[in-house]
Amino acid sequence: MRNKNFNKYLKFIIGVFFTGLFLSPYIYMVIMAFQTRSQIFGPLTIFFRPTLNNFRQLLVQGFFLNNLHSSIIVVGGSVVVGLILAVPAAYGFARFNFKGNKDLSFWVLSLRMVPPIAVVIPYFLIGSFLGLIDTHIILVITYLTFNIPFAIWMLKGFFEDIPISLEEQARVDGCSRIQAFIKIMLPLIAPGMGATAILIVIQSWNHFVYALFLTSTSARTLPTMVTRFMGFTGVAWGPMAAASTLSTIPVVIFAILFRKKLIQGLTFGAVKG
Amino acid sequence: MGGLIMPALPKYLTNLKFKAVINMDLIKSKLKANSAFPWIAPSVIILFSITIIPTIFLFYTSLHRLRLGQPYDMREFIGLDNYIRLFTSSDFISTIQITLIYTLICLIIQFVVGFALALFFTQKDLIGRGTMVTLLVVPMTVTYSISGLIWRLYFNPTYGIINRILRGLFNIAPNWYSSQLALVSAITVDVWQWTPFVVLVLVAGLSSMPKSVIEASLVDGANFFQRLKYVILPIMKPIILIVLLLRSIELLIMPDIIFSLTEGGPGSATEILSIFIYRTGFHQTNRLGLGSAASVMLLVIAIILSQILIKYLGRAESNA
Repeated sequence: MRNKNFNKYLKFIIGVFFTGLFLSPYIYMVIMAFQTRSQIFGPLTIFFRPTLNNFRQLLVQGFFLNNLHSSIIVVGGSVVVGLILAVPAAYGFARFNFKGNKDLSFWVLSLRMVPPIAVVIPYFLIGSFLGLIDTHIILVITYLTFNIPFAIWMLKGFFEDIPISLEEQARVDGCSRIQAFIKIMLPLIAPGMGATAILIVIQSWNHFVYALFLTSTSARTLPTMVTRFMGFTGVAWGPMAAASTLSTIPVVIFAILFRKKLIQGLTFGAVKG
Repeated sequence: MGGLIMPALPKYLTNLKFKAVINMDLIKSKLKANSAFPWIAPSVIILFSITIIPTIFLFYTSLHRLRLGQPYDMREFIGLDNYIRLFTSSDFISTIQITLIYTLICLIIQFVVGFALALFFTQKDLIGRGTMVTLLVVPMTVTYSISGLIWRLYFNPTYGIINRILRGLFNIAPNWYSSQLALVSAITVDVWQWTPFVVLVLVAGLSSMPKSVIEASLVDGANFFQRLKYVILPIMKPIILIVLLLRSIELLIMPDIIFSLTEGGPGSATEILSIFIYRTGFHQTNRLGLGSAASVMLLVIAIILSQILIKYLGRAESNA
């Protein structure tokens, strides 16, 4: 019996060790955000007097708030536009048995895997022709290339999970397909739409390539602020850690809450979390 | 009257009637199929115009000589010269080598460590299992460019946390920024960020394995490695393939970590294909034409990998 308990605690300690190994770089970054420069370079300790100076400095400099503002507009825009387009499409793929349904839906899925860095050159050229470089619009458009496929694929799964009999019942009762869709399906799909929206936020929030190449100042998003901290001698570590902390925390919280859906979405439904 | 006429009705007419019924069904089913069109069309049309048209444009640009900042009218048609130049340049060949090494090493480490940890974290008697698995989601959600940047600080040879620990423990302080170790640094960051993803996918796969299979193998008296080889790995094979393909695609198409960690340097020590495109097309030589040709190559590789992935996804779906 004693031996069994010993095994149990050993396993627990190993588990904590590995979890800690993966978490510590992030935690260390959050700690640095609350440290002064001398504390960052000083001896490693968790006992220090935390300071908010890094955050203050960040807000004074202004670019962080500008990037945050851009991020919110671009991510919000692509969530709204993406869902408006993807919800009917997902319904179409889930409920109609037309020829080529599978091929078309897999084609849509494959677009999720188009390398942004490979198509950024034509986007850059087309954006220059249309005068869209450094605007929120071009980022929303480019983010749609991976958000629509992702959303269609996620929502298709949610629609397929709703028993078709519910819809048929409504149609027997005299609803048209559109009415049945609005009155029956949309309320049932709402939680799935919420989950999909959050996963789109997570992925768009972190997206880097399009924002890096297609914007310069006025539409710069948070992930590209790293270029602000790069290449300088004497990087401002504290403010950098503060900026990183602020921009990652919302996504980290979302991801913890929606872990299973996230894994399911990222594997295109191959595993049910 | 009716009784008189009905038997006299020619056979072809009854056939016609029968045919008409069939046709009505056909038309109905066509209509039903066609009515998917208004639901799907907006998305498909928009996706087509924002992905396929730029891709065609990319290919067109790759057949021209054009520099960044030049007006597009200054382009000069040079046929496949850009492609020939790519494949005869030692830079591109070494980029391909680095891309392969980087991708393969990351994949191997992430799979081996990920699978071992997934087996560990699915043990029933592990205290706090749920919390640990949930917390593992954190690294993969940290903005990739930001994780490159914070690790750049951690790898700092003088002040970085890694060398401070190494100095304390082993009294060594390797230069992680050097051309010998830069690729190791890059691999470390990707392993940190994405091994947890592999763990989480495999944990989900392992937890959905039919219990009867494992119990049966336990009754048969198979030891751990026999069970792994003959029971767990074969059942998990589709999920393992899917997660490895997903990872290899992402490793290929996402330059974020390397961009903010090393920018492909020092020299070209960490210049993977996606960084090569950035350097050729935008940063160093501004050759948009040549960069486009390299982009087409990346696109081709990504398409091949994603088609393989889709084949397995389709299989997994029809099995489910």
